Amino acid sequence: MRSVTSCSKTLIRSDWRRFWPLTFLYAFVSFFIMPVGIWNEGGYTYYANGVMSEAEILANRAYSMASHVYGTLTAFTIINLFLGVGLAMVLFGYLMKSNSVGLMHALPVSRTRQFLAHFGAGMSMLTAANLLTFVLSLLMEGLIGVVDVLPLLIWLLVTELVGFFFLAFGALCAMATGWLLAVPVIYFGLNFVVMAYHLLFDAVTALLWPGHHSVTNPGGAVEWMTPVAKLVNVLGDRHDLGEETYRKGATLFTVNPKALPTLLIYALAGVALLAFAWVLYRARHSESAGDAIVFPWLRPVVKYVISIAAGIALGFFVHEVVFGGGQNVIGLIICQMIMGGIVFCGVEMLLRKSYKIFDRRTLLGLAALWLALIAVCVCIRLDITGRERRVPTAAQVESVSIGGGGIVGVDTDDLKAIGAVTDLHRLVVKQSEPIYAHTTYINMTYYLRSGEIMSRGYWVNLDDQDQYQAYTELLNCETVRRRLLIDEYDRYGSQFNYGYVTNFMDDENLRLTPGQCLALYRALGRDMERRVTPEMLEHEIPELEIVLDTDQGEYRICRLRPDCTDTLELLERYGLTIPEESYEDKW
Amino acid sequence: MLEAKNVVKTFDGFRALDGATMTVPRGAVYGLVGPNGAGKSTIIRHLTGVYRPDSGELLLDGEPVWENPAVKRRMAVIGDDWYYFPQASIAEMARFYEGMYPTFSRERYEKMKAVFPLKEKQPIRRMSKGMQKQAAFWLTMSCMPEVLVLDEPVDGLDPVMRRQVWSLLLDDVAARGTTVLVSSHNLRELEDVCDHVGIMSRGKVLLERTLSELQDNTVKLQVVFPGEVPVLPAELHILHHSNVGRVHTYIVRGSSEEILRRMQITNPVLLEAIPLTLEEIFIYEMGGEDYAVRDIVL
Repeated sequence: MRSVTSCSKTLIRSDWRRFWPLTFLYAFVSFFIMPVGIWNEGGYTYYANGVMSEAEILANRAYSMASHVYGTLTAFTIINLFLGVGLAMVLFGYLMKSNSVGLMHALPVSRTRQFLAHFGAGMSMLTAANLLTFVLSLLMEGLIGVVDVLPLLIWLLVTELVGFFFLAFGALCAMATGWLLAVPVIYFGLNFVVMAYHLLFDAVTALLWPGHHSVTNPGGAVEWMTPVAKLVNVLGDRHDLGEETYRKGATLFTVNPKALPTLLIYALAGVALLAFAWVLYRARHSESAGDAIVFPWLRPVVKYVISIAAGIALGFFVHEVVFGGGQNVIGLIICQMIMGGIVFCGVEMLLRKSYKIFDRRTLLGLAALWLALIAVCVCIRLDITGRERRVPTAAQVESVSIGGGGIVGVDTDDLKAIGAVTDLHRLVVKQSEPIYAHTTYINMTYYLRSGEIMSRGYWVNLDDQDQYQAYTELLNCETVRRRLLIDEYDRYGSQFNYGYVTNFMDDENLRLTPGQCLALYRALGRDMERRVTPEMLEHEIPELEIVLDTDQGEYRICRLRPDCTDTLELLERYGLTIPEESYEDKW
Repeated sequence: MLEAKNVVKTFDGFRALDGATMTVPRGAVYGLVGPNGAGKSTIIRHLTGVYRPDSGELLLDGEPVWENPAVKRRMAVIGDDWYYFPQASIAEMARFYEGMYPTFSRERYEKMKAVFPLKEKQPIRRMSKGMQKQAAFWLTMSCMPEVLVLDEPVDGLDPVMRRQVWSLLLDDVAARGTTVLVSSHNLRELEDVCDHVGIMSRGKVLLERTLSELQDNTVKLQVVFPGEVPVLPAELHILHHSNVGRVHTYIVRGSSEEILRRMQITNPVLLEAIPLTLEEIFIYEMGGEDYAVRDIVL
């Protein structure tokens, strides 16, 4: 007698026979990204470095290929995001039709076995394509002459874990619905719901709180709850220590040390999602095929999550159109109630599969929705959570990253700079009137001693004397002032070997002797000491690539304002002129 | 023995099965009949382990059917809307069934090629509805199940193929003692093949008997009285009465001998007992359930 294992194998074989084109497509795309990409990287290095020794060429090839392999991780994260839902749709698609679910659930296989067999089929498809890509990449490296297995193994591990997570996520979404087209809607909805809600609340906050500005990457829990954003960030943030380090055998260098723990957390989350999906699979009724949401307890959750989000988003849009971007709280609430109500009725029709929804239950639901939407606006305006008014004290802050306006990404633990940031922050949140005046944008991310990360973005009102003063103080903190001109001025010392300057705007090049390098370095130092005013940053400042090579490293990228007269004069004397029209007024 | 005991199932507040109880004896050909929406397909889906009841039990030889692969291995089903994988041919589906059912007989599958004039390699979706039904029988009967559950099985088959299929089924019943549960609206056809009948209405099995018991229990009387219609004995349970001229037709519940004996006291000119067809039994039994054929004048 055949065992239950035989039945599971039959299901897996059947899934493979029917859905292999999806695996093939994934393997085909992977082939172009990995083996072909590796070939391009290896070949490019060879021709570009014809003067190198054989050993240097090989090291350079290995470096380029490893960089390429690690660089593909973000692309494969996004591919797996789509593959996860695609596989879930085809593997569990039989649950969406009454006749197919009738066949499958009449078979002599328990629901648990069926669930595991279909999920196993999906994982085996994913793994087969990944293994094929791995082997072909290895062969390609062999053809190029440099076999570096570790980056490929890391690629395989990362892709498998990411694939597992998204497939489990897709399986969970498939369990919630009896309608095939609803699977991707729920899947992408859940993937981005927290981020979407954050952005929506942020947009309403920006309208209701003068000065507030949305922070594109909020980090923290919002990012964790948006898996693709978190994974792309953590896998894309590579720690490239350079070719030299790679030659010394530091093969793991390009993977962010946070990547592996993050992946493991998501893999564990994948296990939890899979377990939950299995529970739902066993709990769902076969007769629910065709229902938009198969579990009655889930229907109100879906209804209100969609309606509130749509109410806020569409209401905000309509408010912008009707009131032209001005602050009108009552208008905003009315727009949100109207738009939320329309969407609520649409969702209700979809869930009930009927246009006849206008009964007591719907009216009560609408009332609850409107109360929720009013509560959202009122709570944000009154800052119930204290989020908007919260400004950490300088003593609570370990370090701060600031950017925006003319400031190019300053990370500092300088107490004076931290104090200047918190002072400015305190003044900005005190604003009560909408800002229609002379402004500049600043974002700040506090790394608090408690371990918390706090990101905020604001429009600074430069017509307000106190804010202007505080902003000027911030610009003139030493770390900020130096950073306005050049990245990490003091890091590599002042023993120069050679240098050159490139002005990208007119593609002009200037080679520097060690003496000229030192003179330029000192001129930059003098310009850094000049007091900066906000007005000086109101220009598009051209970036020059200044390479001042020392034994420890190189100085690169410099932003010369018109008031950096010492440096500009010196460069002019060396034969490189930056025309005045390069400094375009930003506004 | 396949049993449903007091099964209740509610869909969005509608009670599709309302304490349905039925028993299909081992080796029986059990016809399940009932009006549209009576719950025939619903109880069949419960008996095959597709639907989970709100309450009640579904058993095969005392073992629960729900989530019991050992029991389901002994059963095969052809639903009213038989499903096949969209790209699959009969040969591919046969491989699938072979992997699923330990009793699948490749020998029987090969033999049945002669019965069904179908191309084994042709995608099933390219076949007509009737051909798809034939494919379903070919595959399901190759599984050699102990219990065969059929929901509207011969819809779409031509008369010759219908006879062929029934003949195959009855051969199986005779040779292997296969139990067959079949739901159909074609009562004339069921009458030819079934030995047990269950009548469903509004989620309940109103009655179930052997066909002969059912036919013995209801009698159609044709009577001609010498003059006016006399007062009939009060003990007679008359389900229906009609007349054409002086010929009166009565549908009476009870055994024919007993009814004839009682009617003799009215001194009829003509008294004749005619056995009812299954269709007539169904119509008159359902008449008591407010389901009579209405005389509608348009």
